[in-house]
Amino acid sequence: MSSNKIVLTSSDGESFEVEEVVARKLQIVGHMLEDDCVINEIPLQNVTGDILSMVIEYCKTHVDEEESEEAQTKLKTWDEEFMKKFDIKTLLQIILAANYLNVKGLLDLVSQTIADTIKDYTPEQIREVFGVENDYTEEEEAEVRKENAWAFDEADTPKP
Amino acid sequence: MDFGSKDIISTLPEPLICQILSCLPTKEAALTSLLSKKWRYLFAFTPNLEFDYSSVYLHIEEGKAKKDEIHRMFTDFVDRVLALQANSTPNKFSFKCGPDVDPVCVIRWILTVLERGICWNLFFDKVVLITFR
Repeated sequence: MSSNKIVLTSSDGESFEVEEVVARKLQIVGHMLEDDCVINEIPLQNVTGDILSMVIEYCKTHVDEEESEEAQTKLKTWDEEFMKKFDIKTLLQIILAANYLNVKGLLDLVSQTIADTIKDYTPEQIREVFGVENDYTEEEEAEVRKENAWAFDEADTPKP
Repeated sequence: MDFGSKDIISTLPEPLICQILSCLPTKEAALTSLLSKKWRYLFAFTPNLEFDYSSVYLHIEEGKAKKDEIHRMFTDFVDRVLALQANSTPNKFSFKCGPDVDPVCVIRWILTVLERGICWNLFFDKVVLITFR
């Protein structure tokens, strides 16, 4: 394992010194390191320090992905606890960062977490929680319900 | 991205919204079509599509007319989503159908997704499960 250190700098100027193996979990960094052999400091323009620190925490934990069932279960539990720390607004910032920094595992994890949140709500509740403005007219809304009648039929009846 | 704005999810890039929606069964993802105009068709462009009719087959104890109506809604829904997808190739395609689903429809859907170049696996059980990956 390489013990080289890389400094990652966020858009608001916060610097994080991490092991090269951790930095390489960010594929955007991995590609830069492949293109240019000697880089010690990498500026990351589209992510703030507070979000970058969370991404680094994820990458540090996932740096040695062992295949044993025990290790996988432990990681899964860690992932679940990690996601519980964040409110929805932070999750949306993390998904953008995971996409920009190209951290596939984190992108999948946050997508699933946001999807699970959406799953618990009716469309009206989603609008409220995420601040989505309804720009349909009543007629248009009826039309959307009709074209996806299969989805709305059960949604409109109370779940057992 | 402007996190000062009130709407914190619609401003995500569309591929990311689709990535989130693809973590849900297509039926649940379709509920987001009601959020606003921007969301109307997004659920149909997710990389994973998953249609499940088995729960209906297991729970409906009502009359034939109601069964037929629900069957029609299901087949209309699948046809419509496939049409919206046009010629794009999803990563994963899954049908879970009870014996109530018209085999003519199932064959049509299989042919449609095969034309779009998906490698596929078929599983048959008491409930017919067809998964394309």
